[in-house]
Amino acid sequence: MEAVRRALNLAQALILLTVVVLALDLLKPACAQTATDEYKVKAAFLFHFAQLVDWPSDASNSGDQSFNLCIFDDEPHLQELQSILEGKRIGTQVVHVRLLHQAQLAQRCSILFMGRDEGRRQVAVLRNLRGQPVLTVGESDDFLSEGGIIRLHLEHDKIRFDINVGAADSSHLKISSRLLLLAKSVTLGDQAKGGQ
Amino acid sequence: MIQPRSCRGGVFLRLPGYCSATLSGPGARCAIMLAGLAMIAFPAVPAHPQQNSGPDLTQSSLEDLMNIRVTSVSKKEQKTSQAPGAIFVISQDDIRRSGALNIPDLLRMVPGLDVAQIDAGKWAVSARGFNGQYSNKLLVLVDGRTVYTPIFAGVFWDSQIVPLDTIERIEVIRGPGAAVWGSNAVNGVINIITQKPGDTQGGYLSAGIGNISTGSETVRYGGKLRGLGAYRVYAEGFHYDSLPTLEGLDGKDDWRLVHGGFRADSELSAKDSVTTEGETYQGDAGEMATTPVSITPPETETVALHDVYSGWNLLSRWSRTISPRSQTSLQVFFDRTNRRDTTYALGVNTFDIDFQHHVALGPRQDVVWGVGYRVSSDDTSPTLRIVFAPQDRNLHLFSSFVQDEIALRPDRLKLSLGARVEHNDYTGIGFQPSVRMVWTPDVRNMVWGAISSADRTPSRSDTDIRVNYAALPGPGNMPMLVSLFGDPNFKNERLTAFEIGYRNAWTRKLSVDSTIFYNRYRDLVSVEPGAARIETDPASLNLLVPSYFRNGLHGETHGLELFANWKVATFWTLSPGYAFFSLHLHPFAGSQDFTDAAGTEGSTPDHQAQLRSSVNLARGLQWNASTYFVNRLPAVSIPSYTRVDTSLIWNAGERFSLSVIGQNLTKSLHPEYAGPNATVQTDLMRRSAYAKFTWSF
Repeated sequence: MEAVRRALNLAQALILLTVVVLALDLLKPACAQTATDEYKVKAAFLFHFAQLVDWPSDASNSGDQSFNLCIFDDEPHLQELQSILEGKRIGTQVVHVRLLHQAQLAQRCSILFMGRDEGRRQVAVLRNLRGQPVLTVGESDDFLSEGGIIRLHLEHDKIRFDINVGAADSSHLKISSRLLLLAKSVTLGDQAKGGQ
Repeated sequence: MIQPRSCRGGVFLRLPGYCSATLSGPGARCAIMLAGLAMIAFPAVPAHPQQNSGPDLTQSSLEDLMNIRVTSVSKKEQKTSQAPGAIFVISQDDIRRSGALNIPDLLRMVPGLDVAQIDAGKWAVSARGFNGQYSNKLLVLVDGRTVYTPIFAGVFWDSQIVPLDTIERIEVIRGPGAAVWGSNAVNGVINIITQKPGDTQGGYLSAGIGNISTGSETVRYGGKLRGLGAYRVYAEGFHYDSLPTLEGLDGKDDWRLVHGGFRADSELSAKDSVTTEGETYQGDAGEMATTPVSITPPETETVALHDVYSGWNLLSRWSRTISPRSQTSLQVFFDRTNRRDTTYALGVNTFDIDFQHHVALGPRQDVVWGVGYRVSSDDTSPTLRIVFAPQDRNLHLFSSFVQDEIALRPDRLKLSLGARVEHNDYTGIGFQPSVRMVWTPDVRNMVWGAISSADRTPSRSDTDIRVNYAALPGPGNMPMLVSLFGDPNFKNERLTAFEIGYRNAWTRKLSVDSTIFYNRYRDLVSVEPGAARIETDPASLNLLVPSYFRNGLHGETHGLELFANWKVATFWTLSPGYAFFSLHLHPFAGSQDFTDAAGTEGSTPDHQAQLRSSVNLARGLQWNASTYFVNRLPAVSIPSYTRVDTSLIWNAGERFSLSVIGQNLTKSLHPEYAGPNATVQTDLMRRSAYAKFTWSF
């Protein structure tokens, strides 16, 4: 009997608490801002980059119906990125998320996204893509100094990006002034560092 | 301006107008409430939950996207994965998938940790040996607040439980961490870190029911602090049914806990942030123990006890970013603990203040230094079983530490030098240095090595305690007491540890983590027999057969810890783990230790192995299974066992989830741990089933 009584007391207390919480819920602004998964937001950034960058008309896939956005197949956040981006329209093109195996090169990509933990592969890939019309977007601290074009990073839980205009120029990519204005920092890039 | 993703759930997508801050009138709230209630009654299941959850972020402008706060765990995980030590991190996702109902159950997944349940609400948890109900060489912190009790030198796992749903991650460091974390971080440190209130906004409700955990409810609500930050409040209550004894009788060890608390994080300026959190709890647990129930006439019985405990704590931490290369934090906490049953009664107040400064010196050096002061003042009441002399005591601890991480070759070779100087009231000044070296030839490989020293400092139960184990009829019908006494001159138990670790991630699909260690201990506790004598207290005249704690043992341990993480496919992860452990203790000359060496040697399994599997099925279903093999404990007659736990979780969109959990599926009715380092009777683990429902709103 004692156990039953205690259980009932507990149940009562919890029901009361639930009511209080629901009441609090009524009082809060209807649209309190909640935190969103980092990589879903980053996927939306990639989508905007695709719209705010001009690829040269002779780029390998400029005439294609699909816009190739490439991610290495071992990227930990692949699923979030893919779920947001796959099938989105950019003008007449449809975004297709292509999964790259490690050894494969990224020449036929319009955008290549590289995560935080790339290390040596990043150096090799960026060196290979030097001068190619591929918009490289990365996250590691040394992404721009190794020749990458846009680096995403967090500042107080909000996403910011830096642009290496020098690397974009040598890849014959034209970055819109709107994107340059929103960038946290714009570097002219060290052309020598990324090459050779 | 429309705040993208400001309302969660599919229903709101069709009402974009209601999502603007200016339109959040009572009508809108009402509509949302009704929609919410409708969703409880008819939880609509989208065909592709991953794609349909939340609004289409690509339709938001870049400016809006830049204003969205994002949740990020990978950044911190990244840091710990590069830490030069035997570190294992349990993430919120691991917690959710594991189906574990309490923190000790969750810790089973850490390779090299020894987790054994004693009765329904008591566990023995340790790393690298010396396991017991109060494992005195393992330090446990919750958001920077130590929960290691200065009375019994260990952790009361039944009261330090934060609701699992609010934990962001648990970092488990095996091996000494005293230079940074403080004394008693001898064989390991467990850091339980709760989620930021900003990540637990809105309401959350969970309810579960099962045959052993017979009922559990959690309520949580998180909101904003008018431009200053965010807060959450929570409450949880649960009850566990009793387990059977070795003889198959009722173990009378059912327990319950009700606790509640809050955490508020506020940004006072761009440079200053303050975290304030507190918790209060009240619980009671049954247990069986053999204890004297009367001295005249002498009677010793195994009785059912009722452990009643409560407490509260409050912590505040002020962090200041002076520059990207220099940060300080000042932390203050207070903790009150009350516990009693018929065999013991105590209360402890702990006040702690801690300052830390993290500064980058030049391009190659990263320095953390800090100073701290702690005072714990206790009040105990004597019982027939346990008496402390003096009854009440204030203990002061002064500490300071410095750690310098030097990049000998940037990104390749790092040397880390650390040292702590502490002063405590029992043993005076202590010095605990450590040297670590980490070599990362490339991003896929890491080799580290460490030599460290760490002290286990005396507690009240080493120095001031008297335990009356038994009252028996003696010669001439005089009552006879068998008692154990603390040693007022008890020294630090001292460790010198040698560790080498290798981490390899050839691909991100397969990573392997291995550690070997060799530990040398000095001045370990022993139990020495004393000469029988006549006492006039506690009975008017009784015979006393005493034994005494001394620092009479030394010894070595060595072991191997292996762990791998293999992403077999995008939807399937396998995590095997294995640990080997060996311990040898020897008495110093003159020691006549007669219980402790053998008991301690045989109370940690020499082989442990585990295999965890986690599968994402279609339609929001996740299936997880874990198998644990634990070899026998010869000294305490525990046979080897294999434990299988599994959980099936259905995530219906982002708001609802339903889990079905089974534990101990293969072998019902087996014991996991028995004395000598437990004060309560061992009970048998039972096959159990549990169902849990969660709702976020």
